[in-house]
Amino acid sequence: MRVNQILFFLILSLLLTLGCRKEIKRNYIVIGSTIDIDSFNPYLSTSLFTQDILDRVYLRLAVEHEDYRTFTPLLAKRWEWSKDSLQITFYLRNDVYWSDGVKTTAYDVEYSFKAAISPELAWLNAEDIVRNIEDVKALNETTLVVKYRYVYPYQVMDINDVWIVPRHIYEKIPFSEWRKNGFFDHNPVTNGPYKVARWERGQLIELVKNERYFDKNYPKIERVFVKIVPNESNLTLQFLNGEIDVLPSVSPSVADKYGGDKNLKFVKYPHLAYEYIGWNQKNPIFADKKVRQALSYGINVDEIINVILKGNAVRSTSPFPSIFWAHNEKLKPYPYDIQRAKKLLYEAGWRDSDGDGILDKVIDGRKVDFKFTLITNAENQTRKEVAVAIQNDLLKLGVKMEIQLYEFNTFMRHILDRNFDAVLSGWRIATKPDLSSLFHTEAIKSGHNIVSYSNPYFDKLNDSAAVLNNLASAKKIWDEIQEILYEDQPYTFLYEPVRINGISKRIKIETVKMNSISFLFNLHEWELR
Amino acid sequence: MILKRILNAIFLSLGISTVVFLLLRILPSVSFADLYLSPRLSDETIARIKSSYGLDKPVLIQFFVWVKEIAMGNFGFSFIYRKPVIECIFDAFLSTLIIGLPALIYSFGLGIVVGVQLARKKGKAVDKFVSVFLLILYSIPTFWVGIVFILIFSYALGFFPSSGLRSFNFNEMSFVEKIFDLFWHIFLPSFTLGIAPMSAVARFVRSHTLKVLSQTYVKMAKAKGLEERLIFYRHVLPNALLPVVTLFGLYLPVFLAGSVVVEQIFSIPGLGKLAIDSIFKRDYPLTVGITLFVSFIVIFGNLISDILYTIFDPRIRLE
Amino acid sequence: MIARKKIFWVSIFVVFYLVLADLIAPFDPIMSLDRENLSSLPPLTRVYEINLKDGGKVIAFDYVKQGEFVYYTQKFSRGRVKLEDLKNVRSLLFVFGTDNLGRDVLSRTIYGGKISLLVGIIASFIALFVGLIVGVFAGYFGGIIDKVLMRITDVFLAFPKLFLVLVVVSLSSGQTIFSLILILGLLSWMGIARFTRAEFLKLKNMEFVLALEAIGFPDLKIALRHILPNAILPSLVNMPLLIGDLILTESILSFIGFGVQPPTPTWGSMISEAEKSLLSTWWLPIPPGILISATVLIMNWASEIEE
Repeated sequence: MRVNQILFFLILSLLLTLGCRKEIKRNYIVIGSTIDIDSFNPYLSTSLFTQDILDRVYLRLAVEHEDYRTFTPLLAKRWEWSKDSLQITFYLRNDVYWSDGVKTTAYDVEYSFKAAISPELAWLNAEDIVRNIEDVKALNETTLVVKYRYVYPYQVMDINDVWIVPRHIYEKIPFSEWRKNGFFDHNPVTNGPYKVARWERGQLIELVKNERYFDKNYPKIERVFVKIVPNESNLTLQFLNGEIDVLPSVSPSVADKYGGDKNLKFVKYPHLAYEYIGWNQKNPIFADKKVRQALSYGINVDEIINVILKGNAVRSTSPFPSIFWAHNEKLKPYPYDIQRAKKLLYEAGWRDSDGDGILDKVIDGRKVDFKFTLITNAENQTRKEVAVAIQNDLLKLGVKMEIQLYEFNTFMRHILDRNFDAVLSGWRIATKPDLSSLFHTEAIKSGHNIVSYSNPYFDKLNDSAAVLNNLASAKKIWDEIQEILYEDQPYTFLYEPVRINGISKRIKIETVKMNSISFLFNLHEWELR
Repeated sequence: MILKRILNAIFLSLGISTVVFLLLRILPSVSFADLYLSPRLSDETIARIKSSYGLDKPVLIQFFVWVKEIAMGNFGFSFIYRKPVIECIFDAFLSTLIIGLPALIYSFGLGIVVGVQLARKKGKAVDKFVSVFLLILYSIPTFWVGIVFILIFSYALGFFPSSGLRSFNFNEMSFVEKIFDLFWHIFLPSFTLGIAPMSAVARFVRSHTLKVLSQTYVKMAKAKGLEERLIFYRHVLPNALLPVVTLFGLYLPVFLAGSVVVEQIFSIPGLGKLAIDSIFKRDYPLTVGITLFVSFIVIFGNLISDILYTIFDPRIRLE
Repeated sequence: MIARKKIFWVSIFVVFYLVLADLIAPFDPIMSLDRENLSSLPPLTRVYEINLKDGGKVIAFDYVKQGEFVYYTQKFSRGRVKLEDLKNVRSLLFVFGTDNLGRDVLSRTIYGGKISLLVGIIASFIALFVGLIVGVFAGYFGGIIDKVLMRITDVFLAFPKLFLVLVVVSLSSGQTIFSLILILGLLSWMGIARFTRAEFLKLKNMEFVLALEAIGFPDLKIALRHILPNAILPSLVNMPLLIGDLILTESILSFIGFGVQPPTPTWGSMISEAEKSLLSTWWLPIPPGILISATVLIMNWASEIEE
């Protein structure tokens, strides 16, 4: 009997709990994410998501727009070029304060530059800045002089990439100690429209309006939560439920199914990234360019896009995505043409001499079947499905492909060691065109030329294009380079995924701007209904 | 002698951690693999980063450094979290406990009660029906159960939150409200975690109680005319519940080391999730630290159940 | 039914299943007939396979004969074929629907069961083999050998499981079915070893053994003829239980991401893939989930000893 009483009491208290949930009027929004940020110190972070968030709390010199060419003033009111263009002088605002009351000055920028180029800190994006910028000096609180080693098209972009951090706080710790210190993650001092109210690791981040922000009109929404839900289905569930207002990445099938929901809106925009199959040209099977072309003709990429991505991608034809200015618009994607593929394979010497349905060829005196293994990383469900589709398609040509999944770390190891036959992966491109690390002959040993592609003509052209200051003439050379790659097919360029974001109708959609720079591009301007 | 066993446990966990330490360094990996996603990363930068973490030294030297630090009580510094390993483990452990302890209590408590009652009512419809039900509960994969619960109780009915340990405005709540908020959040994950152990315990207790019931001395007591209830609670029960102690030792790691599956589905930042993240990101100090901690718990748990067994059953003595 | 009889019947059933699975599955579990049209169809969807005399096939959701032509509708388009070119039209039913790549869920579940069962059974044999050897040796020889073997068992027990998985996977060049079976075996032999050793010790001290020793029977013969069979028997009887557990473990490993390579289906990997698209294709995890539960249920039932 006692047991029954205990049970009764438990159920009663349970019901009481449920009844006590108060409905709170929500004047805040919740952004959902499967991953947490890794640090509030921009120089220690490696994830793009973190940078999205950090860009809301730290101000840069200027706002970079989605064409990656236009910059509008932010911390800097204006800037002036010297006559020889080797120097830019930035005039900063006088009314920007860090969240602890200290003024943001040019000395902060000077210090931040030192951090960016510090070899002890080893910031991973330092390379260009170290190479191109000679010095950064603060003349006074509001004047900053940047000296460049030479004139090149990305001078403003490079100095703008420097994150501006509060010197009076950060200089307490020497650069060499930064990576070993959790100091920066507690109560970060920032100067953007939002400041960090709290960070509960693995659970949530709370951003609140920065009272000291120089533009009193912003931010419009005063409280923003970032809720971390590692399980993607759970996250999507909460979005559909209304518990989460913004989803940075929605799977195509969900967007497809719930596209008609009145309370939700799905925003799609192209991404500066592309997916590809890399053929390891050290493997004799893939050494002949006819074979690589044949494989490109033999994969039905359009169907992959329609079926697996539900149409949310664009065919890729080159390592420059379609929205990038250097992209060669004249190149048409390889059509799905089995006959042509078979013909090319035949011309390359592949026959089915033993009638087993798999092509074979005599290489170095031995009969070799057209068999190989495609590797990709296990965490990516889409890539798994794409791999299976490719496997099916290639079988129709008489090519046998096995799939091998690796956990991310092991996968990276294989890629860097060039230990694979073919790899299914993707790149996010830098905002400056430069293909040397991917396809240059010198990058085979040390660099990211993981497929060991070598074409001296490409090398020459690439080197000449990268140093041109006139972007129009550079474009002509880039176009030619892309034609070479189109012909040589060191990769089979698959598709450029379209990013899908979900946003609740609680937020006035006309105030929201999402683009390839960030889905939170103008978070401070968003308004609630 | 108990001291000897405890020392044994410590050495064993140190041993396991050593093995893990060495294996980690041998495993194919790319330190800080995330960095390589940037195609323009230079080898020099990677070299510098590695050296700042001491990863460029030969493995044996790294090992001795590690041993020295452990001896001084410093269990390392996590790469990912930039916090001492002890702190990371402590925080995660709290979250795991908050789900694990209630699950432990209810699964063993309910399990024992149900098992005993079923044994008493053996053969009746209730017994058959509930036994089959328990079997089904045990057979369904935990993560499936978790997902179904979220779909029903969180998504469809909205009774419980589907993730996390507390609400946004937790800090502004009164003490009582905080308690309720916590309870509201841990209910589903805790419940999900305990279902399989609960049915295992119930079935185990039932079969063992029946075994005891069929033993000679019980039959004798019945023949003597003792009241059934008295026999049951005074004689049968204590003997039947004894082996539950071994089950306790067996299930302790499940509740204390965190169930990766439950934590993943319900987004609980517990020890299981921490372990997985640290392994996948090759955060060596954290992985080794967690191994040390968890293996110690497991060995210690077995030790406790052995000790409890000796205390309750005078017939058995530790060798 | 006593346990042995139940196990017998279950084994017969399992063997039949393994042999006939390929025949029972209505569609190819690996390749879809028409990836584009058949993708993500809900349960009980009927489609039509329009077969032409020249061997061509068209998959359509609906068709109608009008005059000289047969008009059909597909997912994104419509078309027609000449009546004179038509050979026949077959009606296909997808009982449990299809997955994202247009593959029949029922066929994949049936075929996947074959893989899951094989993996579970072979792994359980490995676990049994290792566990019995360790347990018997420890029990028979005693002394130092016993202590050493038990320490090794303790290490394996306390070793973080996930880490063990990672090590095996990494050292055996990737996730193949073999490394999966190996992992499962390595994770499960310890319980058997401990239990067998305990039984061996118990039997060693029993009266009938002492009696045999007193008569003068050689040790080894006693061990082999009398103790061994009785020590191993409980573990053998519990095999189905072990298989059931291993199938569950395989599903958890797949969930974390250490399952088999695509496109091979196993119940566990089907559920883990389905979990990601739960909201749009809710039917995907149900058949494998039910079948895992049912299989484990049967295995547990087979191991139970009725009073």
